[in-house]
Parts: sequence; C-alpha cells; structure tokens
Amino acid sequence: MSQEQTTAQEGQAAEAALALEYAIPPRQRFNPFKWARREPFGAFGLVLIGLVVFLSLAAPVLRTSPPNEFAVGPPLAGPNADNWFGTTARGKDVWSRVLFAGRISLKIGIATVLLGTLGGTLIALVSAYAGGAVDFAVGRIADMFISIPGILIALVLHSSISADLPDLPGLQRQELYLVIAISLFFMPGTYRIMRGTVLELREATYVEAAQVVGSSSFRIMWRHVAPNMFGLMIVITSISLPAAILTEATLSFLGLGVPIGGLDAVPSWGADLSGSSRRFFSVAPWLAIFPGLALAITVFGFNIFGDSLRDTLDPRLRGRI
Amino acid sequence: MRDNENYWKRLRRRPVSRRSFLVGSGVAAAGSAAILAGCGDDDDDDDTAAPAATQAAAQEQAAAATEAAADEQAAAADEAAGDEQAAAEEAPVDSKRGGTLKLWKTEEDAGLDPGVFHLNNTEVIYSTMTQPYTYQPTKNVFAMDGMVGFEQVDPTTFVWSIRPGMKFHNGDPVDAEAVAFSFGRLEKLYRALDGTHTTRTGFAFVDSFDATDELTVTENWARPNADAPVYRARHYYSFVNPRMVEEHGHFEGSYEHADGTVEDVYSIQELPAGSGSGPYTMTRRDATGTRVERWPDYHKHTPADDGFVEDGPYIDAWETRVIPDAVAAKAAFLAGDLDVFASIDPLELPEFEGLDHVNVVEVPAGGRSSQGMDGGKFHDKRSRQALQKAFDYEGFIAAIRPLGGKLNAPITDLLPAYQKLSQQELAQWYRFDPAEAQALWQAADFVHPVENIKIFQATGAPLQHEISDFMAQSLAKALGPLGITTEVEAVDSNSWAARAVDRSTDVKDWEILSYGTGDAGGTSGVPNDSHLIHYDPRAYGFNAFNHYAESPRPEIAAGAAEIIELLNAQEAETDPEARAELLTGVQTWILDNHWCNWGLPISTVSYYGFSSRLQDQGIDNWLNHYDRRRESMWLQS
Repeated sequence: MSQEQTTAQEGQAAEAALALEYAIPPRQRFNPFKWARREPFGAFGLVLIGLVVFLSLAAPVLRTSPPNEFAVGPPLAGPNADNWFGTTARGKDVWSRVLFAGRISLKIGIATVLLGTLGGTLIALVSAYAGGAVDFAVGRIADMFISIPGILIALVLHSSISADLPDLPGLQRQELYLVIAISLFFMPGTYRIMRGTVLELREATYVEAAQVVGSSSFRIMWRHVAPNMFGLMIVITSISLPAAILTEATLSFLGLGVPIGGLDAVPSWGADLSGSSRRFFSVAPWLAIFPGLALAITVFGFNIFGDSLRDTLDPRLRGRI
Repeated sequence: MRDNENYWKRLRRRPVSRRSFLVGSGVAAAGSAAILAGCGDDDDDDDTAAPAATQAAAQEQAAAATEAAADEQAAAADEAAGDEQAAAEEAPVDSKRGGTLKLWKTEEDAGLDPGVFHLNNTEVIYSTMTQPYTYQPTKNVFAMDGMVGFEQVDPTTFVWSIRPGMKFHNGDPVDAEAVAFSFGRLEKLYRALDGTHTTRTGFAFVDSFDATDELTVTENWARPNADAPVYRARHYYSFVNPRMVEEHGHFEGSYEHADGTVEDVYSIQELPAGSGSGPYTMTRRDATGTRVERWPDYHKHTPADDGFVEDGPYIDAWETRVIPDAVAAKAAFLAGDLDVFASIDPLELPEFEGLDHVNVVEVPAGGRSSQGMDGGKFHDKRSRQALQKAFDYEGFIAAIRPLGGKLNAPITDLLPAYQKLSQQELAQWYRFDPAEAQALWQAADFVHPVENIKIFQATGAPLQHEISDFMAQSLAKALGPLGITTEVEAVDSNSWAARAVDRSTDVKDWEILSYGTGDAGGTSGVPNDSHLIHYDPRAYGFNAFNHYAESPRPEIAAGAAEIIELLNAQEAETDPEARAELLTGVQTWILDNHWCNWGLPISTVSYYGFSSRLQDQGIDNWLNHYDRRRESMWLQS
C-alpha cells in the first residue's frame, strides 16, 4: 500500500468519524400513541378538547331545539326526556344552549390567544432586538397595562370602542370587542416572557455570525430569532387558552360579552351562569351545573393538554409548576 | 452545613408538578362539591317536583289574579291595612320604638334635590323632608303631613293650610314663604335645566304659588286640573329651606318671568343639613349607600292621620345599601340582612316559602313594560303599526309571564275609575300578524331607512334582558323575510338614560327604547303618571321618543298637536265619569295611531317580600310612589 493510499484511507476514516460525530440524527417520526403513553394526562386533555370541539361543531345537529327559542318546554323543568339538561326560567333548552355556547368559547378563546400571543411575540421580537429607547418605551407601556386590572381595561374599551367596531366576517362587533379586550390581558405577559427569550437569542453565536456576514436586522429576526421562539409560543398559547375562555365567561357574566338577544344571539357559558339564571339556581340547580361543568371540562382539558405540550416541547420545564 | 439541611435545597428536591397540582385541585374541587351537595337541600323530592308545584300554583294564582277586580284590590289593601293596624294596636307603644330599617338600592343617587331628580334618592328625600301629605290610591285617602288641610276655593284657586310649629333641621321656621318657594322653584328649575326628571304636568297649569299669610299658601291656576291634589303628594313638593338654597345652592341657569325680569335658579343636590324638616337627618351618603337617623326635634302630628303617629316615627334609623346585583340583594334579604325585597319573580317563590323571617305579599301588578319608538325614524304610522303587529303577544305571555299576563292599556288598570278598556278591546290592537306587519312595513315611508332594529336597554334588571331578547326574536321572525335584522344593546343605566334623551340629532342611535319589566305593583294614582307621560309630546314623547309638536316630521308634529289637545281636555275635567270618557278617547287615539310607545303584556300579580320583623309597613305605601313615608312602621325586636 502506497503512502498516498494510506493517507487517503486515513482521510476517509477521519471524515467518516467526523460525519459520525457531527451527524444530524434522523428526525424521529412523531408517534401519537407513544406520546399518549408517555403523556396520558395530556392525551386525556386532548380527548376532552376533541369532545368539546366535536359537540360545538355538531351543535346544529345535536341540539334538541334552537338555543334561543323561548318556551320550548315548561319553565324551570328539570332534566327530562325532552330537555336533557332541563329548561331555563323562560323555557329555553339548556342542552342546546350548552352545545352552542361551546362555539363562542372556542372562537373567542382561540382568536384571543392567537392575537395576544402573536402580538406579544411580535412586539417582544422587535423591541428586544432593537433595544435601547424602543425597548425601554415598550417595556414601560407593557408595565402600564399589567398594572391596570384587566376588567377595568375591558370596561373602558366596552364603553369607548365597542359601539364603533365593525362586524367582520365570522366575528361580530361584540365578539371583536371581546377578542381585543381579552387579548390586551395576555399581550403584556406574553411580551415579558418573549422579550427574555429574544434577549438570550440575540447573543447567540449564529446571530453574531449572521450579523458578521451582513444580514439585515429583519432577516436575522425573521430567519434566526423568530423560529427559535416558536416552541415557547405554542406553550404560551396552550396555557393561555383556558384563561382566555374563562375571561370570556367572566366578561359575559358581567354583561360585557356577546350579544344577549335576538335570533342570532350566541349563548355563552359565562352569560348563562349570570343574568336572570342566577335568580333560580337554588330552585333549578341544573342551570348552574351544566354550563359550569362544560366550562370546567373545557378549561381542564386545555390545561392538562397544555401542560403536556409544554413538557414535550420544552423538556427543561418538565415537572415544574 | 450539609446539603439536605438547606431548606431551599430540600424544597427544590421535591418539586410539585403542575399536573399533580391540577389533579389535586380537581380532586379537592370534586370533594368540595360533594360536601356542598351533601349539605344542601334535604328535600328528597325529585328535581321536577318544585317546578311542577310552582307551575300548578302559578296557574291557580294566575287565574285568581286575572279575576281580581279593582274592588277586590281595594278590599285586599284595606284588609291588609286592617290586619296591620290590629297588630300595631296590640303592641305597647314603647316596644315599637327603635331599630334600624335595612333597605337597598341598585345605584348611588345622582343628586338629592327633590325638584331635579327622582332616581335612587327617594329614601333620603322622603325621610329627611316633609311633603304636604301622602296619598293612598287604593283607599283614595290623603294622610296629612306638612299640611293640616287644603281647600279648592274655586276651579282655579287652591288653598293650603300649613301645620303650625314645624322647623327645618337648622331651626328655621317652615312657613308659607318657604312652602311657596319650594313649590314655585319647580317650574324655574325645569326651565333653567331645560327639563328635569320631575313631572311637569304637576305644575305646568299653575300661574303662581303665593304666601297668603304665615301658614297659608294659595295656588292660582291658569286652568283647572283634576289631579293637582294627588300631584302634591309627590316628593317634588317637599318643603325646601330657602336659606339653604341661597347659601349652598348650585347655579343652574336663569328663569325669565312674565314681566321680563330674570331670576337666577339654584339647585341643592347635596341636601346639606337644614334643607329639610322631615323626621330624620342624613348622617351618611357615600358609594356604599345612605343612612338617616331620627331627628329629636321633629314636629308632632296631632291628630295623626293614617301612617303617622303623634310622636313618630317609631324606627330610629334607615340604612340603605347600594347593591347593584339583585341576586345578591335577594341573598341578603333571605339571610335577614334586608327588610324589603320587591319584585320577586314568581318562579323563585319557593325560595321564600317556609321562612319564619320572611313575609311575602301578593298584589295586583300595575307596572309597565315600555317600548319607546324613535319618531325620527318611525314617523309613518304604518311603521309603528308594523312593529306592533310583528310582536307575538301570546308567546310573550307564555314565555315571560309564568303566572299569566294581561294586555297593557296606556293607563294602568289599577285606576279602574279611568281605565275602561277591556282585555278583549285591547286585543284589537295587540294582535300578532307577521303578514300584515310585513305589508305595513313595506308600505311605510322612511326618511331614515331602517334595516336593523336596535333594542336599547339598561343593564340591571335580569328580566329586562329576557324581554328585549323576546322582542328581538319576535321582530326578527316577523320582519326578517324583508331583510330586517334585530339586535339588543344593554348598557349601564346612566349611559342608557343619557342616550335615551340625547337630542343632538333628529334620530336616536337606537330604534326601540326598552324599559320596565311589567312585574311591579302600584300606581301613583293619577292617569298622567300612570302612564300617559310615556305618550305625552311634552314629557317622554319629547325628550325620549322624538314624538313632539316641533318635530321636523310633519306627521309627528300633527299627531303631537292632536294628542296634546286631548291630554289637556282630560286633565281639566274634574267630573270623574266625564273624565273617564275623555281618557278612553285618549287611549283609543294612542292605540289607533300606535303613538310613540307601546306597552307589552304585564304580569297579573306582583310579589313583595318584607321581613317579618317589619310591622305596619302599609302595603299601599310601598305600592304607590310614596313608599316608606309611613312613620307608624315599627320593627319587632
């Protein structure tokens, strides 16, 4: 064996060793069953969410009467064959109302969390990357919002802008108000968490490398920083969603929620737990039990699913509150 | 130091997982729920028993209530009064003295001047000020308070005799000058403020209030008025100390007299001590409520008419809490923290039954459930008629009035001397006919096209939401085929009131103004208050519904002129029978023209809750507009 051959062989071996050492491991195919075995509570949460989504989507089929129709049964009838969850004081069918109310909770919850999380992340990305005065100003605005009780902001928005908002496709004026009001609850919190991440990522070697080769700030933010925030974004989204649903219920409970009257009025669990229903809770407990249970199941489902998702996407946080 | 002796490190070694926390919380919640359920109702009846019983009782009660006639109402009131009086006579006077009456209201007052506001403030005005007398409509009785008598000398002259020896809380005498000042300032305030909440129909016919001598006031009228004596029982006519107005009043504007002289007008919204001469003085007024306490120098009522006692009042103090939420107030009442809870929903009656400390009184309902229509948009009679034909009256009664309902005439049927229209006659106008509604709507002229009908209401009364919801659904079903949509908007009562009377443009930012739940009892005793002011182009018709004589819409202006003439004629007629005929004419005109406002079916009965410790409360006094002005009430210890 010549000297050259020997050298070539050694070179190949070294390359092979390097390739082995620095090889990117093959992406593991996501196995939902394996995940469910590892995260049984998360899987259970997912089942609950799926159930709620299914019941909400299938509400027009599964209902026993239009949810807003008066006098479909006797007033305050208990659960029976015709009205499975009983009736309200005005003879409305509670089962149908609970089904349809899931729609508004999911719609407002998802829209709110998307807006709040995306908005908070975007603001954090720009302000933390820019730093300096921009970061300082945005930080103080976030502090201001955090220091004001969310309900107060919702009340101010309700009296100031809710009448002037437009009806959007799939999102009525009052629903849009809810989305904006609740998003403002979550945006500053999301901003705070995301800002820390951006500050950390900004100092990463690959960002420095990108700066050295002359990449623009926008490109760095879009190509190098933002993708690394995605996992955390999903975690925040999953954790914020139940809180958003509860906030919608709270605002509806206070009479600041979705439209309350008319054929197109959408029932809401929060609204059904308030208003005239509350007068009759002690003589007709089903008025509180069923909407309350639906709300609790939904929030519980999202909570435990979000918890598992967090463990899966960010193992560093596993097992911590 | 060993690692495991470090507290923080030990804590870190045993982290609580979020999942464990959630599961633990769930288990705790379920356990708590189970415990609560176990501690709850011991009744073994099945779930449907209570509603079934309620329904059966409801039907019986509805039938009974429907049959109740005006005479029976009066008899019931008399009987209740008789029982109360008998109970009162049994107890020795000394045992009746003392205690604090505990009341509630939904909001703070916006001012206490009796000539400006009458919202959320009557508990202070009636307790700290003196009125001429009280009027009990079902008995047709005047019980003398600040006056000892009155006489109508001729059709346009009315003479008052003031009770001698009365003083304001600061020691100033209550004399004819003070009383004439108190009555005369109402018109001036009305003009200076361009309208107040006081009912101007009570003083618009007066030329002057003159102090004839130290204890005599003469009213000179421009035209006769049949209701003047009853009006004078309203709290607007409280005696106000002129010196306090002069010293503490707030400038409101100017008033020009007929001779051209101009006078500055002042309100006294804070009601400083010394403003009134009533049995109590105000000791607290803040966001949590009000408190009034007995004034030791209060004048004696000798002899004492019904509702007064010579050395009254018996109760030491009244405490009124602001409780915005009616459900919370009900809980406080059931817990014994409040003495009065009005407007009990018939379906919640089971909660009030079997409680020793609660006394529920059933009375005929006499309130309104009003739907004001914007005359700026609904100027064509056919559009208003279309709205009324698009409403399902029978469906409404079935859904909203569990104990039965009745059609509501423009004047309450608690005034049987004046309200002569039968339910059958009313049914001619209150008829659900979607096809006719659509035809009328299409034929109607709209200066401002209406594609969406916004029903505008105040938050607060839970039943109001149900009424608006039903209205929205009914109109949407009937007029929906024409592309008409409906919506309900609910805002706080202050915003609602401001937008209701906003006249900055020729149309309102709503189409229907919804107010009144129609499940309350009582009447003020005069047809104008109960309830013609809702149609009067000089009252709510003007400031709330754009139905007034100066309207830019010719049909509305012409209609306003017609109804004002009819209203004036009935007001001036002092013969009850002739007046009843005129009032039937007014009502028929209103119904034929679908004028301004429309009353939805109301409940047949109304329920008031009183604590059983409250004695001689005088149900009649709580049903009319002079509630609480009863010094013979006392609290059983």
